[in-house]
Amino acid sequence: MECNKFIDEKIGESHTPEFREHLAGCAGCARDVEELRDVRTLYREASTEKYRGGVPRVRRFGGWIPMAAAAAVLLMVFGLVLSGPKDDKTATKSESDNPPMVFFRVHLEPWGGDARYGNAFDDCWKKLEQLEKRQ
Amino acid sequence: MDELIRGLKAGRPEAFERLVREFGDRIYRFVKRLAGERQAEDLTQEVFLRVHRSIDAYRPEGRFESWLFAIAGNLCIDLSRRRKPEASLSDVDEELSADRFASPAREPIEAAEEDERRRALLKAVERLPFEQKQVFLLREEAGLSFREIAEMTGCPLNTALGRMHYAMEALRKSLKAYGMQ
Repeated sequence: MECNKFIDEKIGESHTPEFREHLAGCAGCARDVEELRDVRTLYREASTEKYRGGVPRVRRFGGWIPMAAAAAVLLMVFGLVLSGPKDDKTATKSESDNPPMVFFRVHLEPWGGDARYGNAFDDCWKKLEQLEKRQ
Repeated sequence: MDELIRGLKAGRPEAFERLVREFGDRIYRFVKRLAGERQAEDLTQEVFLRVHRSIDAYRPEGRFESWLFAIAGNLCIDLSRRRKPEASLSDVDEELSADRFASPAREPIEAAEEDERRRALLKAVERLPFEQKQVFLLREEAGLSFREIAEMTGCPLNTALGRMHYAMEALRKSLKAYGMQ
């Protein structure tokens, strides 16, 4: 049992001179080690299956995806605002008598007037001001 | 390895591909022996997905392999709790029956005997109790030290050594029973 314990602690680990010295003087341990080495060698020869599943597709958040999502949301908001109330010529009498209520006022220049969005913001802003004046 | 980990943390696809290339086969064999053939490919993919999700939580105090195979081992344990172990010996038979070990360079009888020994050994590994099999595979497939295995499996070092001892004895006996050693 003492010998077995000795083998367990050393097998597979780097064999120290102390261990080699022990093996030289202990036929039982030497035989055990030889057999255990055979088992391990055989297992390594047998265990050769390959993974064929490929690289799993991983969704990465970052880069252009959030930008595209933000742009889509902005476009939807602009579309809703611009297509909402008609101008005075097309409005019916009852509508002009009772102009649509503006429930909220949106600050449309969060980026400090980005040139790319300048015209659209200006248009929206004017629309909202007209509606407020009519009220 | 540091470069791989940095790449994984930065979310670089090429680092992820390298991870699969370097560890795919070993993880696959590890989960296959622990959880069975049918689940092995899905589980291997799941291991890599979990690495991707939790790489930020990895701390370089221990070896990366230790962390990686701990994920694989935990997945297998979760699976074994959810279901009875499948009869994976038939899978081994199926896998091994495809002349996988056949080598035209050897004499036919000698080659057949060698294949038979390997087949018998893999069957014996499949039959080991879960804890012994886990330690054996962490040692042989993952290449971890017994201290790392003990830490990972949450048992004292002597217990890990004991499990390895019983596993090796069982494998040696099973080969002797086949008259092959």
